[in-house]
Amino acid sequence: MIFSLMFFDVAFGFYVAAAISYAAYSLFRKEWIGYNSTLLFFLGFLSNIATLTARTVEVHHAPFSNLYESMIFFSAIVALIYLILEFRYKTKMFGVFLSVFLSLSFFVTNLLPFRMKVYENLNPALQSYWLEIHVATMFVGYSAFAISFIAAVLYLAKSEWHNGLMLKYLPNASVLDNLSYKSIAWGMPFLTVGIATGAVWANYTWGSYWSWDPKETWSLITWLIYAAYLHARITRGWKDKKAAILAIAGFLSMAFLYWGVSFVLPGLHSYGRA
Amino acid sequence: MLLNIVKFIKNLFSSTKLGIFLLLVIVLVAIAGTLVEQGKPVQYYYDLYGSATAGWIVKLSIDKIFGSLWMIIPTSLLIVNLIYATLSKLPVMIKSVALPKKFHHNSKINDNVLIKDKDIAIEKSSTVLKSYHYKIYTLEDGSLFAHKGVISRFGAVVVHLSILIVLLGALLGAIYGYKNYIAIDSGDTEPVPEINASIKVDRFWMNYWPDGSIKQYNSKLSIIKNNKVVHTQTIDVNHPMDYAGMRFFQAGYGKSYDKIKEAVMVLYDRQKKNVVGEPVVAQWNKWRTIGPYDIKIVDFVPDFYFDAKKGYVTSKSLEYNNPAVRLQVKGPKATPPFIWEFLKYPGFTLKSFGGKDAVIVSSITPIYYTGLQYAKNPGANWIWFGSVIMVIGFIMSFFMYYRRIYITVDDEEKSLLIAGVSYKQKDLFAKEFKKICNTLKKVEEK
Ligand code: HEM
Repeated sequence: MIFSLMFFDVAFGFYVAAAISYAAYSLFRKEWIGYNSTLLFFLGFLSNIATLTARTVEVHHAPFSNLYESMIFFSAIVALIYLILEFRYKTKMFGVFLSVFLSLSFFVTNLLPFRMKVYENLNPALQSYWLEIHVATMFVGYSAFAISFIAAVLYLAKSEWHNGLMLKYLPNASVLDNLSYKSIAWGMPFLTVGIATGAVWANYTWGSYWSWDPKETWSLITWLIYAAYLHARITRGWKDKKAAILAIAGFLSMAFLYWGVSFVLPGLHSYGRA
Repeated sequence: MLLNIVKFIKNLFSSTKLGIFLLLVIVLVAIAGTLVEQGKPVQYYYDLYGSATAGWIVKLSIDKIFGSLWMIIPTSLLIVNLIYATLSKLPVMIKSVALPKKFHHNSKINDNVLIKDKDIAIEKSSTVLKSYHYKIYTLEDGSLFAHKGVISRFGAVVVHLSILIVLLGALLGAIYGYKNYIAIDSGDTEPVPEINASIKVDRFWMNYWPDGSIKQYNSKLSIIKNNKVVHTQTIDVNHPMDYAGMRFFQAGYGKSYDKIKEAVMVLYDRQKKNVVGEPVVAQWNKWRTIGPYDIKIVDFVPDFYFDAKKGYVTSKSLEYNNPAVRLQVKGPKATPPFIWEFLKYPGFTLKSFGGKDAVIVSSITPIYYTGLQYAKNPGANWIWFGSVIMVIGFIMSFFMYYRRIYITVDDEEKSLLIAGVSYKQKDLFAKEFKKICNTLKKVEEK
């Protein structure tokens, strides 16, 4: 356990440092600060990957069988997507939000009970390839939705306050809107495959593909909200703000699906609590 | 008047707005279904919510919301809306991609390229567009119409179709699906009428992790038909068995509640108050000699209860709270032919034995039963198929896009006018358009 716990702290540290550095860059707009920020973020990402790798070696299974492992996995994908975006859109202005988001995500992960952080034996139902595909695809979906959420929030802020605060350094509203849409366009097929492979797994393990347990139901709710989002964008008059609100609602639903259901509502997927 | 209503309904059902509304209604119903626990006995709701609220919950079927009209009505409307909206858009879509269009000056993106010879210029452009995988049509006035990504226009149709396939699968499952459960003691055979055969559990066992926690539950099953074993397979929690259209799952296990494997017994001298001889192990339902007696275990209850009124023994529960075995005894002295022995109270029945001897049961080895869930799900394959189609539809909608390019020669025949249109992925198209124009310019300069 020692290495994964150690890398965890290192990654956490780099993300926090990156958040501070990106904030400084937004204020002073010096090239070298921007360069440093990306470097710190990248080091955070590398340590994040190192945490996952160490964990996989330590527990001998794919590193997303409980909430603690899956949060680290989720953070790594979000960080990777962000790095690709920074490279493609040549803008560092999301950096503050992303690194704050990831720092918070590491912070809450760190609050999880210690028994999740040490080795846990998988119970019989969890030893399945379907499960690994199911969880991995769900988390790629989650990560894409997290990005779309940040973009939608910034879009709303930008269209509400235009260039006040530090918003003038953000990409313009239509780029943000487009980014939000594209992340959802990535998230949707992954969420769909995630739900479907979850159903295949349940069918293979319990003999029924759908039993309306709260986790399943909330995954459907999330999926339906994003379906509504896609249509909101193609229906004239619903574009922009209403679509952005649906993107935010979709993410909140997803966050509840991920965290809320495990802690608040009872059900088959209680392994999140284990 | 009537016509207006028909028109209103038609408009309503062809609109995406109704669709969004219905999706959100289903979302609300589903949320309600996770806030109120589903399918509990009525008493549960009365205890939790008080009689007034609970009355409404039951009356409005909130406790079984997913199979209720709350779900069925919006889903049915959604299906009608989905089919109607998709079909009414289809002709427009086909038309929009099937017919080469006239040159539009007001197309979204424009550029022009100087040329030397108008006849070769169009031909050259055609080659360039081909190298970008456009499909090209030459129009009557000699101008070019080219398009690409036609298939993406049908992404939404494919997604909608796939939703219908998934719902069809769910419907088939609801109508023709079947589910049952059977508990079979290890070593026993039980008839399963649904597959017209019997199942014998040859063995049930568990594997453990090094720290002692359970790693896996396994059952070795044999299917017996006309007294012949026709199929043998070992299942575990993630590896069910398919037989005769039914799928058998390892769904549970436990200690048998009417049988044990064996028991350890010892002869006891009541006068000297000590144990005589070595303990012996008696198998279930097999005669065993112990001292001057022959005994046989003939019955077992996990939680002994004597119903004094009716005069017989039953089990209070399925838990091993007060396990007792019933022995049949044959011996030289005057003993009752049957006697109950209590594991937890070894001295309790001593008096019942005649003479100086008694038999004490000191431990038992339970038999495990395996809990088999078996189910038939004729809709499942439709659902998997629908899901695959859905992902293909998403890829068509999101990662491909339809775009057109028009090329014509201007009135003075000095340059090519190029115009491009795309409704989606405008940023990507702008890049591609620029690249194409640059290639055209290079080609023309040569
Ligand atoms: C009441 C139900 C529904 C109705 C009436 C409806 C209607 C429509 C319409 C009219 C379009 C526009 C087609 C076009 O012009 O290209 C569309 C697009 C689409 N629909 Fe639906 N739809 C419904 C349900 C769904 C659901 C549940 C999904 C699942 C995700 C879905 C996925 C899509 C997708 C992916 C597109 C393409 C969006 C895009 O290209 O950005 N639809 N729908």
